[in-house]
Amino acid sequence: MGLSLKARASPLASAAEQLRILSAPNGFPRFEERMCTAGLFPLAATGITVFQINVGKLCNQTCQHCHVDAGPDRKEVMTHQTAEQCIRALATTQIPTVDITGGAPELNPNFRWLVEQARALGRHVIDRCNLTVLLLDSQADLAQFLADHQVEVIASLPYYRASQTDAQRGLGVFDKSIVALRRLNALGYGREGSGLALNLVYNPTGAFLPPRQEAIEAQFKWELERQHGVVFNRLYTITNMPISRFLEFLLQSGNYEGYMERLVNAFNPAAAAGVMCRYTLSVGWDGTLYDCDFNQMLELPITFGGPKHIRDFDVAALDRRRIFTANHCYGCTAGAGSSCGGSPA
Amino acid sequence: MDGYYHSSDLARFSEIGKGNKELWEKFSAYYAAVFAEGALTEREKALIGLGVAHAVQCPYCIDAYTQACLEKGSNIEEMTEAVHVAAAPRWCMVCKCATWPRNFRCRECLRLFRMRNRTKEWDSA
Repeated sequence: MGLSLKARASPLASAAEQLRILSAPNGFPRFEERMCTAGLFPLAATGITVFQINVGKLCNQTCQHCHVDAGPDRKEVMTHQTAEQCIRALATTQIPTVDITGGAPELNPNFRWLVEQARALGRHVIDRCNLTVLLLDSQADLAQFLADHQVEVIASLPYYRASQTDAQRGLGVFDKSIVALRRLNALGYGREGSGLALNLVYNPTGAFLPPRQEAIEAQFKWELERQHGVVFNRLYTITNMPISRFLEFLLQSGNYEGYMERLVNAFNPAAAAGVMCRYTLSVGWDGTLYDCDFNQMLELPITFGGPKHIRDFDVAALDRRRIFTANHCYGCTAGAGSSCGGSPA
Repeated sequence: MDGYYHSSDLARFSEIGKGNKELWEKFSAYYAAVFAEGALTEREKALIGLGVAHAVQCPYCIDAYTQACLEKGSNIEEMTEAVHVAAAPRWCMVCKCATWPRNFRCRECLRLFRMRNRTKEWDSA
């Protein structure tokens, strides 16, 4: 298993270095200029409906494209105190959805407490799961826990074949993912009428944009059921963001300029109008507040007014905040667009 | 001129419209309609495009349809098969061109040629 950028002491482990590369003049219009042309600058939030908590960078995998630079060597995890602050803040709102991500969020010792508390508040809870975590000895009862609490599982599976999946996520990950999916299916996940939602996430296994969501979903359903007897509800397509380890791949493979050109040329105003940062609040492992998980990884906290830490949470100030954007945002506005919930356009 | 093909020129394809905007727009509309979902899926059409791109040996087309195939959800196995599908008749064509019409060394070419032309006259050739 590979090491994170941080463990390798790569210059790209630095958010400042990533931003330097992304903002270097390359002949493309700055993202803000394109948003101006589309009548969307400055971009403003439309009211928070998703409270996304990133509980840390610890993960049992080291995927090639990871925008978090997560891995087994990362030690940044949310403390119980910060988790409590999240729940306290959530309780003051009517935000319907809590989206828990990482790393592998389930490896945080406070994960199950967060789920229980959010469910007790009557909120819908999403677990962004890498699937293989379900097979760890320490997580033998995880699938049952998720089912018992009616947690929606959004699971990463970049392709329905082993070769592409393993190339991105590690040797043997595909086969383990199939075992995990079968385990979830056995509990009712992904089956009509069970109330247990199992949604998969496709992301490209190279320097190209994702296919049309409906088309690739049909292909996934056909292949996974036919080949492996696995069923699921929806497939979300997500564009790889040109940051962190995917940025490293782009630079090392000579694809950076071409990929950015592809993103810029595919700018879609309709997708830009529906970007997830407009309705999401992202909480970092240390309680810092961000407009989205990508800004979080680039260490770009909420900039234009509003509280900067979960202990100072103020929903009124955050609901209509101005959102910080930069060139990496082209990743969310290309083609049909990209968000944690799939294509918005 | 240091060479005819530069990958950066692919993005300039639309500049052909400067010479005749109307024809370019008609071509663009036709092209979009051809590759839209129909009796064949967009993904299948992109695979056919990739095969043809190899058969006509156009580097820009190969680049563009490789990208298109990936962005329609195809994989390396499907794309490789599409290229082989294009290569098989192309190879046969090469064989036939090298020998046609007098000396068919490739029996399969000869059989296919007969089938197409419904003729026996080459038997004596």
